[in-house]
Amino acid sequence: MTQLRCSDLRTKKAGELDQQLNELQEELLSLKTAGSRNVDKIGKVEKSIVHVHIVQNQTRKDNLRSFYQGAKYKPKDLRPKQTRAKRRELTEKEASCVLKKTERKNATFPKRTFAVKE
Amino acid sequence: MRVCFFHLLYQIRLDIYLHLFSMGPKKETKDAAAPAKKKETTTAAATASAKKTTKTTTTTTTKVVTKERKEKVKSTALKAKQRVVRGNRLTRNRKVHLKPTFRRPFTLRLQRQPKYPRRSVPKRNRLDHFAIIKYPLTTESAMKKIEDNNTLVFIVNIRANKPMIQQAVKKMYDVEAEKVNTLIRPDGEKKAYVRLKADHDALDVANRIGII
Repeated sequence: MTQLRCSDLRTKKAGELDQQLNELQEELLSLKTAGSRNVDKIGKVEKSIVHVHIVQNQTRKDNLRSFYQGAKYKPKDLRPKQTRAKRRELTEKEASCVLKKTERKNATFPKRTFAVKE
Repeated sequence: MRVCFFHLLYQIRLDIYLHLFSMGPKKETKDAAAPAKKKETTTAAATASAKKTTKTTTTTTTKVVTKERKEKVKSTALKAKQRVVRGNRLTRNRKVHLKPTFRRPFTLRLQRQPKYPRRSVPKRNRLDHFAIIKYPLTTESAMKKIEDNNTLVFIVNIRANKPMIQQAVKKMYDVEAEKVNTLIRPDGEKKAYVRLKADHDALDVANRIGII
């Protein structure tokens, strides 16, 4: 029993992966039941199970991200993680907001630079 | 207290007002009410209008009513009717409380209509059947249990409880358990003694599983 690779598993369909997972888990149980434990084989099977889970979760996540692409409200785990504080900061647009009065003032009286002519 | 007093005054005033308008036939129809009040006010206003406008005859039977007066009477009549229908704001039927305690009344409780699921994927059940049963025991005492007591002995996930173990065994090995006894070994593993129902033979099942 060779250890399954993620690259091989990604070509399979969702239903096939579920089936593969079941088979692997049953195989694992039978290996553990046996009187003398084949540690090598058990390790390989366990790793294969992990790889199946990896592929399943990754494809599921990718599909969900494309599903929620451009949506106004996304599930929280699909939003950018950043840090807690950064998520609560004002957005760039919000921070650059200025009163119309101030805008007008800045437009009519911009900061001038002068140079002294030698 | 103050509120009560004013409320009383208002009540009295309203009662008089309504009484004035309900004179005549007791029917509450607009038609019945309108001519009734008209009759009332016109006789009173007849003399007044007679004094104002000089184009009337001097007989008391003629009813000279100015247009303005008509409008005013109509509007007041309408208002009175509305109030009767609507119910006066200040006199509402207050609920009689017979007990000294006030309990919050039942209010509308809406179901959640989330705009988005908080988690994109619901959490996967980590304690599935494969995770519950780790492996069956094949020690000498376990063998004895199989032969004598028709039970199978498993090492089981420590977070599994007896009903969980029963279900897992049923699903994995297709056997029904009569009862499950559990204990936690000194090395931290949970051991489950699963006594099978009389129609199952533990020995056969053990052979099938691969314990023997």
